[in-house]
Amino acid sequence: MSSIKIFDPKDFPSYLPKLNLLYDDLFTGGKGFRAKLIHIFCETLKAPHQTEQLLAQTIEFIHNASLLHDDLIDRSALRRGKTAAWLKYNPEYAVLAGDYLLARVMVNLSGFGNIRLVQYTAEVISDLLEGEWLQDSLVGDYDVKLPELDRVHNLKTASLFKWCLRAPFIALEKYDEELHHALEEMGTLLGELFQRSDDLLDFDVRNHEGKALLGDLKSGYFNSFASFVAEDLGSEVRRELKKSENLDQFFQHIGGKEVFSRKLEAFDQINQKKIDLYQHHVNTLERKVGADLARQMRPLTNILYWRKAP
Amino acid sequence: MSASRLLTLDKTNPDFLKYIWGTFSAEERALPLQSLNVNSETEQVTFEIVKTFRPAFMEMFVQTLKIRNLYLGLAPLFFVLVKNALDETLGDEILAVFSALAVIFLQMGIELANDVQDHVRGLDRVHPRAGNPALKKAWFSARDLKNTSWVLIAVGGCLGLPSLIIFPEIFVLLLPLFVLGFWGALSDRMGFKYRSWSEWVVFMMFGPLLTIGYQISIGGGFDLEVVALGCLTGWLTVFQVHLKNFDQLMVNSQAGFNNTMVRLGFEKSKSLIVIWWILFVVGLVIYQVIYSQPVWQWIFAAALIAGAVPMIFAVSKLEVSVGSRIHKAVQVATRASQFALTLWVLQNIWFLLVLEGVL
Repeated sequence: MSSIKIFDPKDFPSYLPKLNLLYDDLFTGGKGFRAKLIHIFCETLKAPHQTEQLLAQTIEFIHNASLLHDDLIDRSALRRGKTAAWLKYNPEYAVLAGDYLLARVMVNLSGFGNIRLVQYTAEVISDLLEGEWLQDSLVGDYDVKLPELDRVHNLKTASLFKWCLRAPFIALEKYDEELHHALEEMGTLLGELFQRSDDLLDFDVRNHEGKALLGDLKSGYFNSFASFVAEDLGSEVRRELKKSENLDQFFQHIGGKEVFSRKLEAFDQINQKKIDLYQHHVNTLERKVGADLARQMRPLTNILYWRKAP
Repeated sequence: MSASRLLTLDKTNPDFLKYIWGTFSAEERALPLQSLNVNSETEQVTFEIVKTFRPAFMEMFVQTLKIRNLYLGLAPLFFVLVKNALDETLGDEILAVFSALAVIFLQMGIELANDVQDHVRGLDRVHPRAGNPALKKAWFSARDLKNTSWVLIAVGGCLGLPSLIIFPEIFVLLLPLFVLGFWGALSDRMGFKYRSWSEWVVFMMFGPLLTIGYQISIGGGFDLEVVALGCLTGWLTVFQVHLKNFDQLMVNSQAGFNNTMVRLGFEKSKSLIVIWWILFVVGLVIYQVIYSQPVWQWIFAAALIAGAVPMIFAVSKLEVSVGSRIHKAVQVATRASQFALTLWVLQNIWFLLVLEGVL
């Protein structure tokens, strides 16, 4: 991680010890999935090491800035199994640390000198924040529909995936429109699938990491699967769902575990269609860039949606 | 959906037009897949190739021709018809029927042509409100619908021809609409439909131009009441356009549509909806004061004010532009406008029954 932490000597000066501690805490334990994605692309495109380092730092900084802010907004006590920064230090430090990461992104990227990359990154940060804002305004909305959540997730979650796929090409000034269209759609689909899979963890589906159950629901947020399960239920039942203390109570409210299983099957089916669409766009990537990159991109849906080990 | 049934085409591809118009196969349809990337409609389109499907005739008929929207044109015609029956200025009844049918066919034809245009320009891929169910569900090809729209417009034109021959002054009223229609068809990817001033076109089409034109065509001539009537029906129609645009404020804004709601933003749009409705209520009550009996003034004033309260409350307290809360507020406002229109229709039915001596 040290290579990601320091791109420019002015990143994380030693006279800010608490910021360094907070940062090291935050980054330890993270999978660095997005940085790995950048690595796959940069390796294929034979990007200079400095470029790869900058891109990896950028995406991890943006992602972690969003986590710092997200935990505070959601009042989440834990991050990667450890006390969240806003609790361990204080909310002010968590906000400032997130802001600092975003500021360093802009400093380092603008120094790189590719204005299109700077603009695209700024747009992604803007989308991310819009998505955060919109998602927060959906708390307590028990009648929210899946397509509306998809729009929010496209801003909040998918924007970073899109950036991972497109930024290496932009950094190397490769602007093929057909390719960027395919990458944009692939990023959207990966983000959507990742978010939906993450939402399923709340209901103990493919929850290999042992994430706490019904967290979203208890905090008044109907995530994508809750919204899908509740689509045929009346307003009264939807409000009852929020009161579920455990999964058994949730099953009871929706009509039994069989109903849940049927809904899960249907949910997986609609997402399988998205996976097929993703694979279709990978064909474009294969044609435009090469079979090796396509081969590495194909299993991503297995990892992100089906939660299978790489 | 298997991967082999998906196809992405660039707009420069020679086959692109065959797929977007649906002429590539008689048994299959190419459905452009929805995208959340609102600026992605310009260059490439991913199609899902599916077998043509035909539902029950009534479902197909009602949804393809958007029969539910016909009341927007029929209500003003009905009001003008009753007004002229009461004033004893109704000329040729057959001509009245022909003109009404002309309006119905033209409305269906224009709406269908609009949907095809949205499909060809790719707006139905990024905007949940754009497009026609017949295209989205593989019932018909865009070419089929385009041809149907031409037939409907031609039938509408033929049905309106007798009125045009007898009352050529109607040409003057229709001319601006023809010009706007042509401009819209030839303009950039969004057409004029998603711009602010298109709301005034809607106002004229479902308002004064419709009521004045229809009154002239049935031999009633021109008077101020028919202008007032048209202003009210046009105002009510634009109110519904505003509500739809308000409901889709986020998508419209992201897609770069330049309608009034997008230009005003969320908070000012809320105010505009409330003010728009208050002005309609005031206008309709004044219309009743001038052109109707005192009892109706009180009925309309009381009913519309009572109906406006929940609507104003629902819209004013709205704090977010996404999710179900905005849909619910828009539903309450839509119900208020439907209630007003129903009351108005009932009043006219009452007048007719009195005229016929039933009451």
